[in-house]
Amino acid sequence: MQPAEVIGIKNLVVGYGEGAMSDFTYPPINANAYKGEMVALVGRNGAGKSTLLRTISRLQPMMNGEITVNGATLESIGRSEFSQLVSFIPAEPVRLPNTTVSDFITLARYPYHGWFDGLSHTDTTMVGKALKAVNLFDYRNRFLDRLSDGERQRVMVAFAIAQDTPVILMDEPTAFLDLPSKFEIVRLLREQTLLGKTVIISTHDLQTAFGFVDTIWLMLREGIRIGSPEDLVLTGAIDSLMDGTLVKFDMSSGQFKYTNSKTLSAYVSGSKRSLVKWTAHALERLGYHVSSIVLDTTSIQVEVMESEGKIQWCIENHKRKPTFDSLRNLCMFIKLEMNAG
Amino acid sequence: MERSSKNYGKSKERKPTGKVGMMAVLLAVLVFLLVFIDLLLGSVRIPMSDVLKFIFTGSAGSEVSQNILFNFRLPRVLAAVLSGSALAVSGLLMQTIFRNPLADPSVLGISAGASLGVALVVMGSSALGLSFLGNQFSMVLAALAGSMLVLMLVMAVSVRVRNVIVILILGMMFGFAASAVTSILQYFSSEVSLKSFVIWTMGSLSSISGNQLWIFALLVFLGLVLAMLVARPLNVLGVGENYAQLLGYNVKAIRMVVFISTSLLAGSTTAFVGPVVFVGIAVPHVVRMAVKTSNHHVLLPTTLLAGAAFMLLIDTIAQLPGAGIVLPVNTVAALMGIPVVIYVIFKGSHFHAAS
Repeated sequence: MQPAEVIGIKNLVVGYGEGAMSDFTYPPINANAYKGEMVALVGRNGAGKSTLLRTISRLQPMMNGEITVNGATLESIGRSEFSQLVSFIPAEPVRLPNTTVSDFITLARYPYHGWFDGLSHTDTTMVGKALKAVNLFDYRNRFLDRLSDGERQRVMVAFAIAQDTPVILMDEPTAFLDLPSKFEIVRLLREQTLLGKTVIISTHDLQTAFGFVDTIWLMLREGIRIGSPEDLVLTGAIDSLMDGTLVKFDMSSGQFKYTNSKTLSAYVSGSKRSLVKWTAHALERLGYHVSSIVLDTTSIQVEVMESEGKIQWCIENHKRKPTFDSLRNLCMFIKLEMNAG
Repeated sequence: MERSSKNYGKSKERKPTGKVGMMAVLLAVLVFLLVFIDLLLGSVRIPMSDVLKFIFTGSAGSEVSQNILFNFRLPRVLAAVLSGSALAVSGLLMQTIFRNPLADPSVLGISAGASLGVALVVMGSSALGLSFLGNQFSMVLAALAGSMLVLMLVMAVSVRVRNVIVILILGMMFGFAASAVTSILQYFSSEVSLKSFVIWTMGSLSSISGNQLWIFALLVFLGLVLAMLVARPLNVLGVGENYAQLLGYNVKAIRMVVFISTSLLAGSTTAFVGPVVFVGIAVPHVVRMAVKTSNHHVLLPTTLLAGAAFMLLIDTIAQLPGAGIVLPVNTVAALMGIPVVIYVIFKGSHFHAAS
């Protein structure tokens, strides 16, 4: 069964019609987003993520192609009707002094009013509901400029919720946030998709994209690839994201890792599995390929021991057999002594 | 963390709705009080009872008092009320539109345009031997024409340009150009006309006559009505033009309404009272800090009242030397207002520049 399409994009060319960038265009985009779908736009800096979001939200004219919202083309939708269909939170943080959180969220209800009618009961309810949804109801009388980055971003999510549109677009909602705040923002947006809203965010945070969204629009130089995160891993599309860098996606661990031109191999032995695992992790970070047996190319052999609650690392094949009480010291030694020359 | 700061959030930053109402009432009372004091002041001593009678019944009792109050002091007081509220409101509009706390009506070059018009009439006419142009009414017309000309240029630009900062810069450029031409006129003009121009630039509330007052009032009224009409979109524009567009507003149209309103307010004030600076920057600033809101349904009326009160206060102080000497409005505004603003800025512990 095919889910309902909310956003449809056909042969869309985005870019800048005038100015220094006029001759530069991105490859045409064909994509769609379903009702209740959470989409992450992933791509490198300059891949056109923000431009695409700005084009869908009509802040920027399209150069060619067509975008539809619920089947209607962007051009055919009236100004105020559109503001009840699509909400967009740009990446730049809002700086509005002397404004309380609830006064700010109230602005999101303006599309539902004429020039002269005041706030209705529905508006007050919607503002309260939106603030409760992001757990900031107690903050409603706080001033915007007194909030932390994480709180402010939750306010922005509440703004989109209060605008009550079937489509929510957010540009880089998790940038500048600490890990807990990041997860919180993504969780809140996911919650909205469970209510049937379509959410499209742009992000550089692959961990977020891979862990929590339904679909990734991977914007590559040669075009857009669409699929669930797992689809993109299996088709190898995710590796194309890292073209031209020394980073590759390691399919077995599900993580991005440096690939090294130098083939240094290392061997780690030890009594406890977790100790061996994390020691290997540290060595891989330093560019070593860690193997489970001693190869003739093995340039370093580390043994990790635990006795009386103390962990010690020893480089077995070094002439001085140095020992270390932390991975930090081990790593610094390897970096400066073993790799020298 | 949320739990622990809950009480703080509730007690310390309570919604100041009641406070705003109180402040509006206080401001209205203050304006009334200052109108009374300002009517009392002047070169001729008029008893307090006559002034009170004049305010409440329209006739002062004695014929001399009636004549002075009605023909000289009332126009001056009304000019103060009109120009003060006009300048303050246009300053508020500019600060919101450009999202810059240092913006005021002069940033669009409107005052400079008006000055150029007056300079042409006062100094240019004497150079060309057209002395009949040098009267009061033609100065007013020239100032209005000058400010309208600059406004037209700014509007022509704003239809084409998306970025409001570009408009700001171009407006300032127009202003500089107008000032440059004014300087050339000053350089080549006679001493007499130069002095009368310089005196005009200092501003005066007493040069306005009965009929002109009606025109002034009409223009200011139109400007204020336009400003009130866009109060709601202004709230959103304060967040950013993106947001205004996303919430369904036609940003360029609203910008146009604001520019027309500003030019009516600031242009007419410059024409009738002179290029008064400072009020447009300072009053909206102080009001915003006092009422702590960015809602223009609150800011517009309070700024209007505060502007009127500020200008009345300036006029009151300008009269203080007595014996018929009246200090120029511009100097009093600056000398009096600057300490107030500095005090307010330092007192407001979390002063933020909207960027």
